[in-house]
Amino acid sequence: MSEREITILTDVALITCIVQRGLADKITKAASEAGAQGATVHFARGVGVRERLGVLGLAVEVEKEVIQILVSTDQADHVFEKMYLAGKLDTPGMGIMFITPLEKAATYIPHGVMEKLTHGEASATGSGGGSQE
Amino acid sequence: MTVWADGTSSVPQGEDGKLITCFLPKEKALAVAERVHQRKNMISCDFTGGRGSGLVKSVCYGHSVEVDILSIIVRAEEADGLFEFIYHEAGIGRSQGGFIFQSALSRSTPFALPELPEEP
Repeated sequence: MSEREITILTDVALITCIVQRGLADKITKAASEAGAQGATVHFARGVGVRERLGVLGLAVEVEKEVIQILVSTDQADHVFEKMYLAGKLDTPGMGIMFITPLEKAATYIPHGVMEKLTHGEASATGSGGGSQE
Repeated sequence: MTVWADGTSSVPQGEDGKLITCFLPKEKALAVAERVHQRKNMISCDFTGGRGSGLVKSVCYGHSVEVDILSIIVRAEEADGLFEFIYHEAGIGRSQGGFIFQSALSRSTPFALPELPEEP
């Protein structure tokens, strides 16, 4: 592959999960077990439901971790569900998560994987994946 | 926000924008942001730090690395060109180079600085 080529990935979704500080590792582990290939986490501060839960709002941490995970749209629902359960987001005040559809994405794709994709597309035309520009 | 009787709003209506986000190796975002800043028609650019984990065992399993998260809002017609520009500038096509993705924004605010006279 030459230096100036981009392999554009389509059918990619971004899962964003905002939880109390300290819970991100557990949730990213669940995501990886569900098939996600990576995760990015950063800290944030949250306001809102905290003021209405617990004694003087002390039950819910103000410090948050924001988890961002890129997955294929095929995997998105499965990974989302596993993260939801791992983070116990059905408990009020635990956090919130959502999926953002992406127009396109790009990253380094190892040569072997690229060959597999190319052969896959050649044998079975159609079905998502990547396109080279 | 004030909405007037004729339906107009006190919040200026921005153009349809695109949000380009990059996960980059630590301390790379500033250099990329400076290069992007030299291009015109960028609406907003900011970055923050975070931690990333490659969950593929052959890359790095169980270890987090520090990453920069760069977010850029740009006009829709500029987005594809800027996407490609950042991809090459940031070396995303190399191993451990990071990730870049683009999503559509339903609304964004304009961010234009006034014309300032040259300082003597």
